[in-house]
Amino acid sequence: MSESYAPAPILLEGPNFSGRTAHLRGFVGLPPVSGGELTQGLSGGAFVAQDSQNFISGLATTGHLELLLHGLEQCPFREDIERLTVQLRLRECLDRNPFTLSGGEQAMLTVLSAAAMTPRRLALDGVLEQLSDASREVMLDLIGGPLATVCATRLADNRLTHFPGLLERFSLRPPGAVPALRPDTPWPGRTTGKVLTLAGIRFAYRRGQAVLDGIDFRLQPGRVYVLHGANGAGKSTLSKVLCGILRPRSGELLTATGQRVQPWREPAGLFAYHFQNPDLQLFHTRVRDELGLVGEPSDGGTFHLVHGFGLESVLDEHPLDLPYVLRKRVAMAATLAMFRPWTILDEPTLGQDDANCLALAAFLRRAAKAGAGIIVISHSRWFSAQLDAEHILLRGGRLEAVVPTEISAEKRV
Amino acid sequence: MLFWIGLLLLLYLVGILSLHLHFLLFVWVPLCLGLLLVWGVAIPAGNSAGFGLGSAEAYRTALIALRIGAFAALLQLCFVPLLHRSELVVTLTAWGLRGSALVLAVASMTLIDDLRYRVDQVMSARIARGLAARNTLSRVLQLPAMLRPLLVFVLTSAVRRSELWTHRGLERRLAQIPVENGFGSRSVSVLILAGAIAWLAASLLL
Amino acid sequence: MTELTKRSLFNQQALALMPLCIALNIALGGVVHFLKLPIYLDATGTILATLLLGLPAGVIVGVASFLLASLVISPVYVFFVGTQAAIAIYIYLVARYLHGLLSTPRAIATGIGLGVLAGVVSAPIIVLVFGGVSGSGRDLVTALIASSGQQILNAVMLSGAASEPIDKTLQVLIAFSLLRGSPKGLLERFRNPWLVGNGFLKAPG
Repeated sequence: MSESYAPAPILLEGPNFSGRTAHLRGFVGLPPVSGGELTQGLSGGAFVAQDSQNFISGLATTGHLELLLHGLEQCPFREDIERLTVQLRLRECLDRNPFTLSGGEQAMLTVLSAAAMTPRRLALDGVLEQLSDASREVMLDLIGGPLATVCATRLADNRLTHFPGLLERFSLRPPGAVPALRPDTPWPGRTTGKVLTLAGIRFAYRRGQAVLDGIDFRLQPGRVYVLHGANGAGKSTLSKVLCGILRPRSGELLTATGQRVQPWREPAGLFAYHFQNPDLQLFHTRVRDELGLVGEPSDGGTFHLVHGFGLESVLDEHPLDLPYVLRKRVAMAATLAMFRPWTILDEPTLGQDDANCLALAAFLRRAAKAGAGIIVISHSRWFSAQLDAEHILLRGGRLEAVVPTEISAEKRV
Repeated sequence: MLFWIGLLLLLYLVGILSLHLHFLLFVWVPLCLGLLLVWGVAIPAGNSAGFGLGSAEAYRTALIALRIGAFAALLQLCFVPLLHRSELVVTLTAWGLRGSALVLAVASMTLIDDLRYRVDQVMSARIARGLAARNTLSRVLQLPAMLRPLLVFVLTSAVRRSELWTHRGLERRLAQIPVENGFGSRSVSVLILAGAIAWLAASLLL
Repeated sequence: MTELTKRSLFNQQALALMPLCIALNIALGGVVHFLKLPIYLDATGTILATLLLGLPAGVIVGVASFLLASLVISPVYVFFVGTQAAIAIYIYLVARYLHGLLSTPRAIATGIGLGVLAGVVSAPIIVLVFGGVSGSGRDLVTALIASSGQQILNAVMLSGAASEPIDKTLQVLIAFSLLRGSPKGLLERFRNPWLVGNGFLKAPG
């Protein structure tokens, strides 16, 4: 192969279940699903998927050693990778055990270690979805730049569809009818949101500075809220405080009538909280039980959700046996099925294709209009724009209302 | 006794005294209380093995307590090299671990943090879903449901990671990491460990 | 030499699962602590590893997790590695040859047996090293029995046999229920005769 061999990265486009993962795995010499027969390291390829913690070797005690293990010393663009670790603010993370990093940091580390291997072929399956737009841009510079001189890259990534880049695109079609979200579903609307005032909420982890440093904000149902904030700004801490998993150091929640509410006394009573990673919040052996469905369509509200999330055909399956796209939807539907006054959804669109994202956005808009309190955390600018939302930003431990243009400026800093 | 104080000093010097104090407070003190209860109160003074408070046998019992404390300190000292994260592979290689055994040792130590995080997440998620139980009995009954996502995580992770190791040839790469004479040189650790075992055996037989 | 034998003993998947089981064994301590439950989950990982991967892996997981626990939790764990090995051997034999996990009643019987075994196996260590005490509520039972004039070794064995079965039965039941409720497709990747024999997987064909 000549020195000038420089294939442009190819983006695989296509809806959920169009076989993008199988294609990517085949591209780097892996069987279509994990667990098949495999011969050792013949292919010179590397594969990273969205469950990035499973693509950390576990054989290196620090991020830096992880890169060395993957052959950073011999890598021809070692300096580029080291420069990126600075740009992506990964420097301090490299001294820590990779398993103590946040999801986004783990995703970046796995892509960088795959690159450090200097593979001939690299396949990235949805792993860039977890990054902020700015970080994703930096990663694409590496993939389309130095890496492309030695390595052919293919990606599947629902968010890159809206990313104006110099990627070649290649479309796949699904083989047949597959369960999709239905955009026309009405919000079952059994409960409505409550006006809530957060007054002076402070929180700090045991040995550390305050993550939330006096949150003063009035939450009013009617429109979807989108919660923004850089990595580590405290978005999930705030969610946990509201949900009642963590008890704030000080501050209170007040209802419209001035009544005090203490979420930690009755966790998940006021706020239901859907985590980013669906796999650890599915506890039952059938989807039906997970959603709390008892018997047949008598339970109208939840059946609307089943219909809206396209889950009819999987009601009797084991939730953890489903593909990621559906696991995410089951976990989300189960959280919404609690019908709490407020629901917090952390990265609800992970793994979902465009059509599903639009359907979800329509559903959430309608729910908010019907009076349900909905708070969305999402790094996808495109998805946030579909929500007709109030944008709020967590910065320096405080919460404020912002307009979207301000946010993109903030994230680039 | 003096020996133990010496060890405490050493522990302090290498910076893990707090670990040892934690052990003293939560394990050693209850053990001493147990000793007092069984040997001092329960067994009648006339019994050949019991001492009644104040007899000569009290000395022997106190010896047991000291022995456990000192041994624990010694053991923690042996393991100190393992606490230096960045040199773990080097240390373990210096101790003579190779191939699968090395993979196993390094991976278990690294993955503890992952599993701790997952355990924490599962418990938070359970609260967030409003499924947390209030009384002890229902918490026990809920354990299987709580642990199920963890087991599935562990199994999925194993399938994925074994594929990763093979596909990327990571075991081979691990063996190629150069071994220098790190903080935990093999002879010192082996010496300490052998000393601890010999000393324990001796004190048990005395 | 060890490298060669180990290589033939475990496939990649088993090798990847073992450290996860070891780490799980240790992390489970956190669950019990958080939920303030009066039981230990110190053998659950070992039981699961034995059922999924067989005897050698079970023993290694049990022994290694207690070695590691003696490093990160408390040094006293190191004295009970023998008990862990005994647990793995017992579970393997009972599951493989007696199908001791085929049903809930059988699992309870298996658990009671395991408790008695664990109590008896650990008694000599407790007497020799710890002067017969364990630093838990169990010492009250030991003291009670010892005060009736029993030899200390007998007292420790009896108190162990009295308290361990409850705990170990719960652990066996938890492992049983976990494997019953796991997605079959995933479990299929770890197929072995005793998983089939105890009804966790369907026999082929």
